[in-house]
Formats: sequence, C-alpha cells, structure tokens
Amino acid sequence: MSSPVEQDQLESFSYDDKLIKMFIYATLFWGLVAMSIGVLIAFQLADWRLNFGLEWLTFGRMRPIHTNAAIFAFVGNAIFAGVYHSTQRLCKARLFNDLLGRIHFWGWQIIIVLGALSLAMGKTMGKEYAELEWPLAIAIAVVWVIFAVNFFGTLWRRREKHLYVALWFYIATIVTIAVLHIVNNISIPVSLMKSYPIYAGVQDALVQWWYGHNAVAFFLTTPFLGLMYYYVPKAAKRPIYSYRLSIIHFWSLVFIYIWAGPHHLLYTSLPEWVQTLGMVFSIALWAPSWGGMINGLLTIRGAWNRLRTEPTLKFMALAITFYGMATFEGPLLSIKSVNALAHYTDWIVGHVHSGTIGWNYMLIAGILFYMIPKLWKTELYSYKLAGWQFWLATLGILLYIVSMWVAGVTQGLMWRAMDESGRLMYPDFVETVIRIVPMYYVRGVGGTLVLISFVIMLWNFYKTIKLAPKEQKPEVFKAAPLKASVPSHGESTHRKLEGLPMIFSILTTIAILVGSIVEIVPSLMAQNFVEKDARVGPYTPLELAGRDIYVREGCYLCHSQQVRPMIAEKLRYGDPSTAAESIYNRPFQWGSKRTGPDLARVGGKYPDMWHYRHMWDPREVVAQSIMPSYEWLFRKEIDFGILPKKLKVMKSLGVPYSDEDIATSKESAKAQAKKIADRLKQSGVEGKIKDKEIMALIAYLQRLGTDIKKEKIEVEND
Amino acid sequence: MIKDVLKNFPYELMPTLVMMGFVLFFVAMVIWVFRKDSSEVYKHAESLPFSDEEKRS
Repeated sequence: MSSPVEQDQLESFSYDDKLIKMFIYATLFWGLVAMSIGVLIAFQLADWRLNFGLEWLTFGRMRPIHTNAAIFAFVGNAIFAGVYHSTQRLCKARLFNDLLGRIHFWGWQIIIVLGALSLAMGKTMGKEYAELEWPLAIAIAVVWVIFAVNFFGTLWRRREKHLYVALWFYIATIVTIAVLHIVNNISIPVSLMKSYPIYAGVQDALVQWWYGHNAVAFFLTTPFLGLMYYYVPKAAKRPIYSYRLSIIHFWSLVFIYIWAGPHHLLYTSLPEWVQTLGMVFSIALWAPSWGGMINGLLTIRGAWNRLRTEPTLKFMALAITFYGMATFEGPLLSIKSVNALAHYTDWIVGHVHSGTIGWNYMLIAGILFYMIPKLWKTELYSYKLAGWQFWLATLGILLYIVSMWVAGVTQGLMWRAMDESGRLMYPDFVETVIRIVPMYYVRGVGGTLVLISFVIMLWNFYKTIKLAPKEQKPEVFKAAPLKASVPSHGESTHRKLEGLPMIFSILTTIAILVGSIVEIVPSLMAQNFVEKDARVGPYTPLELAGRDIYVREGCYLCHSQQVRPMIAEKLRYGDPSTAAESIYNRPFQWGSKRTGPDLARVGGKYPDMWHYRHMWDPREVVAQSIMPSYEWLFRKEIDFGILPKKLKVMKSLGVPYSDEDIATSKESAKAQAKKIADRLKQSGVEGKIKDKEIMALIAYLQRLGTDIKKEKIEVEND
Repeated sequence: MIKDVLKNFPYELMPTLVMMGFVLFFVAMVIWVFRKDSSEVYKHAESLPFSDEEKRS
C-alpha cells in the first residue's frame, strides 16, 4: 500500500500497450507460418514427392525456415510482447522510448521476412539455428541492441526499486543472447550473401553448439521462466510459491546452462574432457530445472479447481509440466550411453518439440489468454473453443513425441544390431529408414492437430478482439518516483544488488562467461588441441564450390559427417572421424541428424555415375530412398568467377592456399570438372555437363574421407 | 606463456574442479538465501507482480 509520503508525490503515467499488441499480432501470424511449414516438412519426410521438385521448397531449404520461424519469429515475438508488457508493470514505468519500440518491432519483422527469403534461395551459413548470412546477422545484433536499450532504459526509469525475479531472467536473456550471437557469427564475407566462419572443424563445432544449446537455454527457456514467474502468479492470483527458490533457480540455471553445449558433440572428435564437462553439467541441470518447475506448479496450489475452467491456468500448468518432462529428458539424453543410442535419431527431434510445442507454445497460449482480454478490455469470446484447442494441442504433441520416440529408438537399435558372426543385421541404411516411415505419418498427423489447435486459437482471439469496445483509451496509473520510495525493511546485499541493474547484469554476464571461457578458449588458443595430419589437405577449388552447394542445399540436415568410435559405426562407415580431418571445414558439417547415412567416408565408395544418377533421382540407385531429387543441379552452372575470392578468404583464415592456387583456381576447377564430365560421358551421359553444379558436388562428395586413406609414405613423397 | 599454460593444463581434472567450484557456490547461496530475518524481504519481493493493480487512478 502507498505511504502518505508517496500520496503527495504520485506521478501519472500510462503503458505503451500499442507496441505489445503489435508484437501479439506478429506472434500469431508467425506462429501460423512456422507450424504450417512444420507440417509440410513433416510430411515431406514421409513422402518425398511433397518436395514437388522445386528447389526452394525442398526439405533442406524449408527446414531452416521452419526452425527460424518457430524460434525467432513465433517465440521471439512472443518474448518481446511478454517482456515489454510485464517489464512496464513491474517497473511501474512506460517503456523507455516509443520510437525505439517501433524500430525494434519493424526491424525484427523485416529480418524475419528477408531471412525466410534468403534461406529459400539457399543463402545460408550452414550452422543450425544460426543460418542467416552476415548482413542479416549484423541486423539481428543491431535490433537486439535496440531491444536492450529499450529494456534497460525502462529499468532506469522505473518507479519500483527492486527488480522482481522475472526481470533477472530477462537480463540474463538479453546479455547472453548478445554474447552468443556475436561470437558464433563472426565470419569473413566473400560476397553480399556468402561468408566463411573464422572457426574451423572442431573449434567451429564447439562454438556452434555452445551457441546452439544456449540459444535453447537463453531464448526458449530463460525468457519463458521470467514470463512464468510473472504471469503464473497473476493468473493464479497468488504469489510465487517460494521466492527463495527462485533466487537459487536463477543463479544455478544461469551458471550451469552455459556449460552443457558439448552434449551435442558426444562421441565426436571433440576432446574427451570437454565432452565430460558437457555431460556432467547437463545432468546437474536437472536440479535447477526441476526447482523452477516445482516453483511454477506449486504456485497454482489452491487454485487447481480453476484449471477446469480458466484457459490461462490450464495452458500454463500444461506448459510447466512439459518443461519438467523436457528438462528431464534433456539431461537423460546427455548421458553418454543413452546418447550413443539416441543421437542422430528422431528421438532428439521429439525432445526438441516437447520443448517448443509443449513448453513454449503452451505458455505463449496461456499468456495470450491472460493478456488479450485485458489489453483489449473485453472478455474471451469462447471458453469452449479454448478447451478444444487445449485437447487438440495436447493430443497432437503426444502423438508427435511418442512417434518420434518409437522412430528414434527403433532406428538407433537397428543401426547397431549385429548378428552372431559380428556382422551388421541391417547393412543397408535405407532398411532402417523405411521401418520408421509410418511413424513419420503419425508425426505429421500430430503436427496437423497442433496446427488446427493454433487456428482455433486464432479464431478465438479474432472474435475476442472484435468484441472489444471500439474506443480504447489508455489506462492511467499512479506511482511514487523511485527516489521517494522508502525501504520497508533493512536492505540485504542481494536486495541492494537487485536495485542496481547494471551491476546485476555484470554479475550475470560473469556467470555465463566462466563456462564459456573455460570450455572454448583452450580450443582457440592451444596449438595442440587439434593434432595436424599431414595427409589432410585443403579442398581443390572445384571441391570447395561443391562443398558450398552441399551447404546451400542443407544436406547437413539429413546427413552427418562424423563417424563415432563404435563398432557398428566402423562396420557401416569406416574408421572413426578425427579432429584433424575437418581442420579446413568452414563451416563444419558434422550434422545432428541421420535421416540418410553418414557421409564422412563416402568418397570413393561409389563411382561418379552413381552420384550423378542419385542426385537426379535417388530412386534410380536406392529404390526406397526418401531423398528428394536435385534436378536443378543439372541445369545451374558453377560460378567459377567467385572462386579466386573464396580461396583468398580461406587463405586469410589460415588455409594453406598459395598465390598460384588462387590465381589458377578457375582454370583448375574447370579442368577437374572436365575430368569428371569425361568419365561420366564414358558411362553414357550425354550433353554439356562439364560446367554444371552437379560436377562440383560430385567432386566434393568423392573427396570426403579419402585423405586419411592415403598412406603416410605417399604423403611424405608428395 | 598463456599458450604454454593452456597446453600443459591437466584438462582431465577440469570436470571435477568445476563441479567442486559449483557445489561450493551452490551451498553458499543456499545458506545465504535462508539467512536470518530474510522472510520480510522475500514477502515484499513476491508481492511485486500485484503492486501495479493497487495504484490505478
């Protein structure tokens, strides 16, 4: 309650709710786009014909559009709506600057549109969740800084001294995402929409998955925990269960999360100690994650009866439950022996969707059911429709997760199955694929139900907003200025800290930097991190061009290039991958999923003609293949002109190309392409093929894994 | 110098060292969070989401 002193000094102010409404509209629009594309690509995996033979519509290009739309467009806009809405109220202050808010909004939407177009055109960095090329990466950094200025400016203008726990999570999000995005995206441009990362091979893998994992942590988790700590008490009409627990939750989570990235690289050529650190801290994450889940669920204590009728609470309870399930499954999958089975399978796909659909979509729905009637000063149009949405979404996500569990475990077991004589029981990779295709249909049905539930929510909100009074006058609030507020109790150190956003932010930054530095710096500085292998050389100009086509088409989304040190993998693919093999790989292409087989040792396994026919129509060489056709590679010509520039950039990054290599790169690429074309012509291929992109891709694929097959003596003689 | 240190560091001890560091940090945090007379502080903090509803004009 206000003290008499405050009553004299109350200031009037209103909130910038127009901006919140803009971000809500964007959330709903991009949610529909992201989920629709998700359903399309789910069915593309079930039936390859749904790629329609169009290059921009193939799975390899649509999948990054789906993930970027879901994470950065749908979830991102929801974060901005929720953060701006709750921060103004927790600070009792209008947003720092209305114009900055509009620049933030339109800047973000423009980046999303340009990002989607560039990905459809195959302009990609080839790093998961960080695909956008350098001009867009810079634009993201600029807009994020604008967001940070607006957020911290609001804290600076606040009328409530103490920063509520939700704001801590927002601070951690803003600071950490800035660090992750900038460090992971440092690259040297070759052209307006092409660049090479400054990191290579193992270093690139480590930095990328430090980013990739923490994008999940600090974009899909921490902002939503902040939103949970604000909106669940508001919806339940009771304070958070334990504020003490929220402090422990915050500091533990922020400290531990940053270490867990290497669990994406278990059994790879990453040094063992980094893998162990990643695994240990992933398991440690169980405690803070479940602490947060328990804190959220117990906040609803005494209000469980309202779950039956109030959509806000119903969706929030389901979201927190899914958060608990996903954060149980994540550390479980990080245990090396479990990871050996699950990695590269659909189990991981199911896991990430239990997070993004179960946790993010459900919490967004709960928050929107709270916010929209309040912001538009009206009542929800239909509670019955909200109920339908709830059950369809729940059924859909369960079908999705269960089908991916079944598919993942089935395929993982088939990959490693050996008979009594020690031979693989399913040596043809495609055998393990066709076994799980029925599960891909079930997943598609589950995704469709989730999409239908979203459309129902859209209709419900459309009708709700239609019901709103036409004249929407902004509400005026009153509060005492910060300097007039009187501390009610002797202040503790942490309370003082909470009142100092800058120092609080610096401490949060230190917490996330400790893990980042310990894990990454040794790999960047110590020379012995990757022991060089004299047999491994840089790619020829044509192979480099082919590699860029491989990246452009998103081949890494279905094919890994990392043979793990396991008997079954050695039998299926060959010797385990070494760190030295990828020292010239910018970006690294180890992948995270095997919808098709690993390609690290594919070089020389098949003749050129096999690859030629395979890319034209995979069914010509593997009858039951689910891979799309890449007919445009047979029409498009190789861009020989850009090769000297590409080699020059590579040389500047330390790849041992000589000046002569750079000067003769066009001629050398043309000569190598002609050799491949001549071999193909001997096998009966007709027409002018020597300048087509397929030549470059064949050159690259035929090079993969061949270096370490060379004899050491042969290298020495060379 | 820095490179030499990084080169020769016994990295196999790293998971144990870091975990011990975190456990110490965690225990200290738990003791501090449950310090004497802190209940009033947390009571005020947990009421903050509701304070905006008191002061509408």
